[in-house]
Amino acid sequence: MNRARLIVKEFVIQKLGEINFFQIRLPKNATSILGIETDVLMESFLETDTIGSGSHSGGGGVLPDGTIAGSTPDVNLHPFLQWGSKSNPVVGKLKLQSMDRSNIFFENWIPFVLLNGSMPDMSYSLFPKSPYSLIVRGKPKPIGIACSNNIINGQFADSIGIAKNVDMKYRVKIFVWVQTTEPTNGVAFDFQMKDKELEVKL
Amino acid sequence: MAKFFSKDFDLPVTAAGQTFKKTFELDKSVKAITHYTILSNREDLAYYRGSFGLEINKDEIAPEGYSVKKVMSWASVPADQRLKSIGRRETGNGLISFAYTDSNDGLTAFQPYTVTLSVEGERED
Repeated sequence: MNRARLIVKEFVIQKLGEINFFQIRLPKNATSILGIETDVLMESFLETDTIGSGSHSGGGGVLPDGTIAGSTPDVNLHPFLQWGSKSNPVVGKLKLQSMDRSNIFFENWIPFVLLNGSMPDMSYSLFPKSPYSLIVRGKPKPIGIACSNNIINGQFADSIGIAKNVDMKYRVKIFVWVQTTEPTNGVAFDFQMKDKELEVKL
Repeated sequence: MAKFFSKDFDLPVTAAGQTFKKTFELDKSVKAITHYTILSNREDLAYYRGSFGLEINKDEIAPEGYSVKKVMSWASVPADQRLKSIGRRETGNGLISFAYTDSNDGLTAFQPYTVTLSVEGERED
């Protein structure tokens, strides 16, 4: 096993329905793409959809006519006291293409993951699950394809702007884990390790 | 047999939208780093606004721009899985370079806060 490296690609979307074409250049010593992670930094004011009543009131947000109502929403630090749920908004669709045989190897809707966003609702019980209990640290989506030309073509299409009918400004980050020819020097990331609980000892 | 080592390094974030860099020096008895994570006294600000870069002994573990939320953990995560594993990186010169970038976003209002780089590893006495 050789050393894995992380490549960060970042671009800004700021217009309704914007489609961004981009390229990700991989290091010359990259031999394969191990995994993909994504992230979104929301720069526009965002009022999330809520279900039920609770501390997260319906005030604020971008109105259909483009005006902003209310002030900056509070981040809920007390999830147990929040009776409504917040859904993670999807910001757009990402496609990544390799010029090798694998062609389009990654295609996914990209969510903006809220800190306390989750499903709990008072309809479950009097004391809903804490959203914290539902959040676990993510791992990259495993890809595992060889790359010989060191360029990934990508396309991102905005959908949250279309849904809200307003220009939303946000940064999309794409994290590409690649395998290189470098020696590991002892470094092995957690997603490269096998789950010990699943290993069968002979 | 190597002994367990754990240490936290604090980095105050005093201004919005800026990058803060600091180099931490490990004790000479520390031979290797095996795990790390990022904590904060305002985890909502670190979660939404933070990105970072990390080097151990001038070896890039995470490039600048990697999101803090990818390495944060919560109370629901089992205690032995809260830190991100990096195998076993020998500390060499014992220097850890940490760069934290705060970015303005649309959900949070900036207040001064502190991010903490927490590392675990092996030491020899």
